Amino acid sequence: MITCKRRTLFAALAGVFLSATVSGAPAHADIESEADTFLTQMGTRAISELADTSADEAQRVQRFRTLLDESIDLRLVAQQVLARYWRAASEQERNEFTIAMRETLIVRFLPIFDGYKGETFDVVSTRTSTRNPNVVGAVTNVITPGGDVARIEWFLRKVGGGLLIYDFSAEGIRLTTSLQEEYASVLRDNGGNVADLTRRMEATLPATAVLE
Amino acid sequence: MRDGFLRGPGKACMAGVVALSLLGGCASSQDQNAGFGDDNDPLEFVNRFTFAINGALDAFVIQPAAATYRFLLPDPVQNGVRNAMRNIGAPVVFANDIFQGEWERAETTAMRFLINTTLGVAGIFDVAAEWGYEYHDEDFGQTLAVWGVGEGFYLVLPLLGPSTARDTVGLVVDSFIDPWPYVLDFATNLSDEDITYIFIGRRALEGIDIRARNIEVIDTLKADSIDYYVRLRSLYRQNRESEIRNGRPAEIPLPDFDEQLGND
Repeated sequence: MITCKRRTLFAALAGVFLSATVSGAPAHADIESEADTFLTQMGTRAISELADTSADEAQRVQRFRTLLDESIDLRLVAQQVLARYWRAASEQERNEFTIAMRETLIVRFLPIFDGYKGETFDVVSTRTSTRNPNVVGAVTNVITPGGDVARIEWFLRKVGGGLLIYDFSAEGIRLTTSLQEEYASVLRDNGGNVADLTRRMEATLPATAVLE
Repeated sequence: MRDGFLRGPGKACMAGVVALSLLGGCASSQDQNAGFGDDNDPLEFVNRFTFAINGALDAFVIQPAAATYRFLLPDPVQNGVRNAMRNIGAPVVFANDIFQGEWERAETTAMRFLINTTLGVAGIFDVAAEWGYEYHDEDFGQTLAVWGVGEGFYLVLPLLGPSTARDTVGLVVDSFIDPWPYVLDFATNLSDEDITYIFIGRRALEGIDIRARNIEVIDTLKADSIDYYVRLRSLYRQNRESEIRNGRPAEIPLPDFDEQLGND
């Protein structure tokens, strides 16, 4: 009887283990493979469209804006950046902040592609969240124009069947942490006024920024 | 050997080091409770004042000097300057590699110094990197971190810029373990004053070289910043954390956003 129970228990455990092995690993492999493809395509597209010297500045800005809209979960980035202030903000304030943040990202990151000479953009490793199979991290090595290798870790999640980036860390500098600390300082001084923060962000943007 | 080097001002300096270590230790216990909204910057008012002075010095002296340096010197010469400065700093890096128990990195630093000092013509050419001995940096601030000392409160140092209590202690200790002042004192007839000027000149050249390599980056950081002080503070801390891990990635937990978005 005891032996039988042990066998049943063993069989149940083996079943759980096998089902986890059979159904779990391929699911991780799928999303990690998808992240690899997503980032490789995004990198190739970014280099071909943004390092294109025949395009004028306005074209490059618009291309980058489209790339950000299609590749980054800007609303989730904004939510992480504003943290507790996000919950207190109105829907209009959230939207305006998200757009101002996108334009800030354009100003900050578009110059990186100036003079880019078609270096490689390789995905070197991936990992899946143990708590959420729809969240994945992927590391890429990017060769900088100076010849150094820059290590960037991207954080993605599945949204509506596709992947979107919600954060990244370049050589240990994390996007959401950097923005959060700077904007939190302003929000603490202005009593948590997100609209005021957004106006101040807009004041730093060029006239060509699209704020709608 | 200079008798007074660890007496008088040196002794006072060491007392300062001990005091800052204690402060750093106290602050480190607070770090564990640091979270969103806790900047660990109790001297922010003074720091912002120093930051403003540094900014003015940068605008009127350092940035123009860096731009001129970059304009006048071709890239190979600038690379030679950087290589030579790194080679001169190798003994301090080596000592800190040892302090941290990083034997392979210590070997790399030692090999770099031997190869570049000889075949690299006093460190001007980085021959060692081509042989697989890549450059890395270490300092006593990082060593203290590896030993478990918290970063302490944030500090902006005159001319030197962003730092922390721990890193300031590290700077002072590094200046003591740097062998070159002792070597110059032993091997030449230079006065203490001359050696100090040489030391300051070396630091100034290092600073100009680093500033010259980052003109556009700093311009961009300033351009879209609404609080440049806080932005640099954040970047400094994150960069130091990365350096302490020797560039190894932080284990950033992958969150369950579905739960978090439920509170949207």
